[in-house]
Amino acid sequence: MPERAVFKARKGLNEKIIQQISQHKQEPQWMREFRLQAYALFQKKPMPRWGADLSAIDFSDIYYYLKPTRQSEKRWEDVPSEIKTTFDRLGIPQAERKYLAGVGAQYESEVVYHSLQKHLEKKGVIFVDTDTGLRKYSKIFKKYFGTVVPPGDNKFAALNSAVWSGGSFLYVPQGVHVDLPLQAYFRINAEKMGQFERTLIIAEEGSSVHYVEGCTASTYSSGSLHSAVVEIIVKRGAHVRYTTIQNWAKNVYNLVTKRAVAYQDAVMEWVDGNLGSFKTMKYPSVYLMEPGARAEILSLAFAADGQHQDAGGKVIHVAPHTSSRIISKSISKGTGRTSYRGLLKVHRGATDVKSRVVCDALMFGKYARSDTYPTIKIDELQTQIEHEASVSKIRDEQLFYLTSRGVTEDEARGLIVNGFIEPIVKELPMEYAVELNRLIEMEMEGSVG
Amino acid sequence: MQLNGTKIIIRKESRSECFHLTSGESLLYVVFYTPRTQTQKIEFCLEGLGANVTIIGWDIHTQGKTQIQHHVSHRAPDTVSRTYVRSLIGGAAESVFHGLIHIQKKAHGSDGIFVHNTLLASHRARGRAEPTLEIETSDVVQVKHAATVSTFDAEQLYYLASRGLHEIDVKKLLMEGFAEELLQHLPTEVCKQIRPLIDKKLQGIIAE
Repeated sequence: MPERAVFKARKGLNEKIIQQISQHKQEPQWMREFRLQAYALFQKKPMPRWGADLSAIDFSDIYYYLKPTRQSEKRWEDVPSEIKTTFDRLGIPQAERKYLAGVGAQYESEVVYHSLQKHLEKKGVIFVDTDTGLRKYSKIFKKYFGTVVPPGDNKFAALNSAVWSGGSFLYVPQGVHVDLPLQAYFRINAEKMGQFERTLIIAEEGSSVHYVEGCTASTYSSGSLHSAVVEIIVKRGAHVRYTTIQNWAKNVYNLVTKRAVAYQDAVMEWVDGNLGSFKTMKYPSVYLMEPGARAEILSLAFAADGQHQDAGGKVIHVAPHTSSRIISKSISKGTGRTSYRGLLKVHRGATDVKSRVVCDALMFGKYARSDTYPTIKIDELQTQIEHEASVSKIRDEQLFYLTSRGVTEDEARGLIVNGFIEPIVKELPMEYAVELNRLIEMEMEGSVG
Repeated sequence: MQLNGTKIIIRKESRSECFHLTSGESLLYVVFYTPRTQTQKIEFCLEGLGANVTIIGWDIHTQGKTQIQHHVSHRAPDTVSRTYVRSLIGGAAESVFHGLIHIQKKAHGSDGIFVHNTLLASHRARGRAEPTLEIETSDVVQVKHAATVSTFDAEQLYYLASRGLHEIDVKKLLMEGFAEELLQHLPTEVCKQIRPLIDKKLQGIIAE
């Protein structure tokens, strides 16, 4: 597909390019300064020396900004046909669009299409791309932006803060329940282009929302970089679920910082599926700030030949009477490698904390690799923390039993894998569950155990 | 000490050391971890076919900080490792425990289990558990680890108190139970030697 860019910044990164991005977006002064300060931090911060090997990333060989159309389209009819074709190829059926509460689809760096059902708008729910959020809702935006993931958090959060573009801004007012999942499709479509979307979700007291993000990208020969930041604020009694199915092309570095803060009696759930990409480093985290808050992280990783999925989750119990659960399922095959990396921290004073971490790994083939690196730091007596992990392969008896029932060996493996990931798949919206099962089946085809 | 072909090593004070186990060799390693200013690295390399090691460790202290790195490296086929560690931390003491099971590519049919339970017996005690798995071949029997960190269970305390026991005695009972559970993994001859050592350590923590 031809690149359809109206404006494309030059390769590489310097202050001038950041100025250009900010100017092009007609941003307020404070955002320009925020970007420049973040850039200074990015230069100072060292590369992480743990996790996936990132030494091959060349920051000077990446496009940091690309604007495909002049403005965000409001109506589906106005969306350019080649972009529509792309979405069709992603397999978003027409009928489905009608049911989805709002669709924000990101094509290259800018959100080109956004719609929100009228009744949601009436309730005061704001669901726009992040740039519009900054322009139209600057008061709320400025209050929360960068408060959960400050630019100095890590090198890639600093990079994102400097060059961010696109992503979703979602605001759910007090007591409002958004009953349908809100979706945004992401797609990288220009070679050597970085994707730096920035998502900010604020759920006011007693509200609830489910946000779904799915990523697919076509394959290119040279590496792309995806480095997003997601910030979520879950206020008293609110409930937020954030679901991701990541299926980036097999040459994309996927380095994402996702973090939520949950206040009194709030519930934050991350459902995180990592299938694609070359190397992923992603650890959705939750800070439990007030009593009664709860965190749930479901993580799924699939690494085929040459892939390294370094994924997991972090929960920090700051307040007493908080609870959390992390379930991780990882599958590695061929020369693929999955690593579970997690952190569970209980601050002093956070009494009556309960937490459970379960990691299971399934491996195929002689050269697959699986690691588990959970870290548990407890500074408080009144806690109950459990962690367990197990690694296994498909047993010959299982295969024998299934093949004796008339299914082929490949199908049998597919069945076993689908059973293995079922606890996570059942939490997904139906269309995603179908998509995920199909992806796994495709990946498992012709694999030799 | 030797028992039914198994070599037995008992360390009343822990220290950094490294063991290489050859084909068919079997080792039982019993240890009481000692707080020190530096990290102690205890390493077990299963180099020969079918080598197996069982590690039983107690980390009972009320002062200072234990910093342990426990590495079990499976380097040959059909090797077996079992590690059971109990940390009982009182006073303002701290425990940092890093336990690794590493299965190398050629170690087909390996079987490794690592279990680490921590009981924090005081409000000022701190525990940090870092159980880690690194597995480079899928051809394993099983590789599992588990870690827990907890304190006295309120229901257990209540039940025993309702039977007329003093809180001090109740906690003493629970700590004994927690620490002595590991004795089940030891042959009777070794138990006899170890039990008084555990009792002595427990007295230290109860007196606190």
